[in-house]
Amino acid sequence: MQTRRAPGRSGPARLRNKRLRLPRPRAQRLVQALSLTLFLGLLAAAFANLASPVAENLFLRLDPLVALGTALSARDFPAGIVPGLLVLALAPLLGRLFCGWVCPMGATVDCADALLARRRRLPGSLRQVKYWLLALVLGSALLGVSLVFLAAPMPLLTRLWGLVAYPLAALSMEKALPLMRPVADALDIRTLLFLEIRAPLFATMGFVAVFFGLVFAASRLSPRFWCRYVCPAGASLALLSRRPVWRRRVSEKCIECGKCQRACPMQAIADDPHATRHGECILCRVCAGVCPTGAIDFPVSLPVLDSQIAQPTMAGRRAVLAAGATGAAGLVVGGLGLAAPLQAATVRPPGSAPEDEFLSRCMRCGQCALACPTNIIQPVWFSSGVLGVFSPGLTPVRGFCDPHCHQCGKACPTLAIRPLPLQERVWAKLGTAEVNRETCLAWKDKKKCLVCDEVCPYGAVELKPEPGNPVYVPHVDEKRCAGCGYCEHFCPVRPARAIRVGSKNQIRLSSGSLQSAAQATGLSLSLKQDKTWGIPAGSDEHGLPPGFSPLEESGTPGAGSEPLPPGFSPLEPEPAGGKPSS
Amino acid sequence: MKRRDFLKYQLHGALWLAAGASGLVSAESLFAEAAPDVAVVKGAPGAATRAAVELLGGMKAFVKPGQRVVIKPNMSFPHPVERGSNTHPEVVTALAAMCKEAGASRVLVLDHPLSSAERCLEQSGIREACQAIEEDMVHAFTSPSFYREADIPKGEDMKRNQVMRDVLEADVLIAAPTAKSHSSAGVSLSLKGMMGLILDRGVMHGRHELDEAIVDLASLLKADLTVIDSSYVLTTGGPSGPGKVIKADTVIASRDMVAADATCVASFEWYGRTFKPQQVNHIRRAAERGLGRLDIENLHTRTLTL
Ligand code: SF4
Repeated sequence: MQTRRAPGRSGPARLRNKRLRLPRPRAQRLVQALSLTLFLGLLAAAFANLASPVAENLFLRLDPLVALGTALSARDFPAGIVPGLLVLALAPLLGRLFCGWVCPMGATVDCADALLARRRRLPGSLRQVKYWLLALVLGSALLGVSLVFLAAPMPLLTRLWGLVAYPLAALSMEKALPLMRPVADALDIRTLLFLEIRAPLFATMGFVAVFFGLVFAASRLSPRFWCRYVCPAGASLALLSRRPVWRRRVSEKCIECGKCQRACPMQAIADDPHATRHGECILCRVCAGVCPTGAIDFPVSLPVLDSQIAQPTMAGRRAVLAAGATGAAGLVVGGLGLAAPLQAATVRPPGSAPEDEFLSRCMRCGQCALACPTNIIQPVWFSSGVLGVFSPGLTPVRGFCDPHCHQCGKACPTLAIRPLPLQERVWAKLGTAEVNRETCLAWKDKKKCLVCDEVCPYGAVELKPEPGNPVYVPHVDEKRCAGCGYCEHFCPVRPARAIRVGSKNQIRLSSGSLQSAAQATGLSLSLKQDKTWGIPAGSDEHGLPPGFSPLEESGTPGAGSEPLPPGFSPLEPEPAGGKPSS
Repeated sequence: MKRRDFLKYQLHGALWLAAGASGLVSAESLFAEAAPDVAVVKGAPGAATRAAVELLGGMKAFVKPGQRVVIKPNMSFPHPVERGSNTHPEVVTALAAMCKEAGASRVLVLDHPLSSAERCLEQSGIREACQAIEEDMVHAFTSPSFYREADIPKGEDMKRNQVMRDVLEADVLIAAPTAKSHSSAGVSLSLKGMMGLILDRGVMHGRHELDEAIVDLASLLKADLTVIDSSYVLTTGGPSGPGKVIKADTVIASRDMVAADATCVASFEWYGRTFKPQQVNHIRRAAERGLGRLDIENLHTRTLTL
């Protein structure tokens, strides 16, 4: 929250009237608190997979930069971004009301300010940084490259709370639960006794934490440092907020004491305290609260006197153009070299658009990752190129991709991941699993394992006899493998799993039916088909189904030349081990 | 299961007992003589379960008032009962109800799922069925906080693992597996099923020899009562299926895990053929290591058709 200056440092005490002692602008604080609460509540609902009456990703969709950047880079207006476009459209009327009253990033920064903020004189030209950032994002978006993730506030904040704060909170609760167990056990409080807390962990958590450490530390430089100098979403609203209908007005009662200038968290009041930089003003009305003569009010009125507008330095506009050009040029150069994936394509969540489109839509908010119930969705570092950083990839070591689940599709507001009906969802071919015969227990050590076969929901792991090997060995039927990662997740081989999912033959569409596309390439991704091949053909060694051994003595009834199924062995001379019958 | 169905099969069991008492089934032969080693009952899952346990001396022989019971069914796949990869809900509810009747203070139905726990509990039908008996009985734990490191004193290969703490704290353990084939262990019955009560079953494949580790684990988690649900026997394609399912409508019960498993192996076809119990390595090893008997031809088996 904006720090309150020690009252009365300037001006004699008699000038302090009631207005000065008035509480801080309550309505703004209240709305802001409600908004932050709603944001956190919706995020918690997504995190815990609870049904919510309001779309869990509402705040992401309100972000004007997300809307603008995505519309430009994806050349599309998915319904998800309409709220953000509305916020933009309302800026000429309401100015940066969003920043002061609604934005949970602003509220979070205000919280940090309440603890840390100092006021230092910073050069006003620093304000232009945000315009440069905006220009960079929009310039590259024009070229189809989304850099929204660099500084759009809602995706960043979603990652702070959803991928760092909540998981850490869940982890500590998970650790604390056993402490309550004796009480719960004695009183037989089963809800508590069996409460299972999902504590997912995410790659890049450390990065997000450090990033926000810096954002919060900037409170030492000025209040709302982020909003004043960095936030390109704020910049986009600022550009549209030249003459808002609801705005600060200073009457002739003003004695030019300068209190409002010093109190303004946004430095929105120019050298002449009568004038306001409306592009900077977030309508928090702190100035009205500190004015000793009550000269400031915020009426709603149409005409604006130019004398009341402190023009933003026009450099702001020029910067936009210049940076747009620079950003674009830089990206052409940098993008060519850096955008290339460093390794084979990343395995993406089910329903992901084709890679180029995916990256132009994905804003790296992490909403899909935090909504994923198995934690298989992880932000990637550079596996999909420098420009793919923080985009979601599947990491089967951490989870499996349940063919009946599509929380990620529901979470994504920009259609980087399309929501799929269940029937379609099952047909999402994410990639293909491959057995590493050098490390697989069955292939290399001839050991009984075949966990992959046990867990594969598509029945895509075929067990086949292998000459010289007493156990059956796993083969992946590529036509049946959806790349869901169950096998990799449960494979017991360490450190690298002996069966791994790669992006091979993944099917990704921007529209149309996944099922048709998969069937057209001859795939058969069904959860129900019989595993008939489980019965062996019957060679000398593999006359038996998996797990059975031959009866060891010839002539023993039941033992024949007939081959044995898996897991069965031949009969020994005498039934072994049985205690004599009593 | 709906409460009505539950009552129906309860009634079925009661009718059967009444029939026994009234001489339709010889009461003496049921209760007077020593309890058999193995009981094989054909009939509807719930009633057959009751009858099988009665043949072994009734649940009171296993559960004393105030004791804590853990029932270990198969419910680690999100499949309906007809697929044969999970235990029939009615078998589980019959066991749970009998435990409550015998005065158990807490009955829990536990497994460690190989898929989304929520969907396994839902699709298997076991959680819903058990609601009719008591709230909050069925759990599928995946979080490590529900497991505790435990020594396996008789373990030869695997000497430690993390076991569900509620199992370690229980007085009575009931194995209630479904009869199914298993692509590496041959069959997955009561012995193999104990792998669903530990956290890290990967080491049983990777670090240890699977068959030996199964026996090690069963030496620690030795069920006091084993009831093998053979209503839908998954004879190929196990443990997850789909595969060939035989509707056998049978329940096999014993105090001896090995004897129950052995009887089950010998009772049904596997991959279209018949096998001797000793052809399944882990069952043979369990017998060799003294966990129970597989010489079923020498055991006293009572067979009953309801
Ligand atoms: S789970 Fe891994 S080690 Fe085991 S058989 Fe499959 S690929 Fe091999």
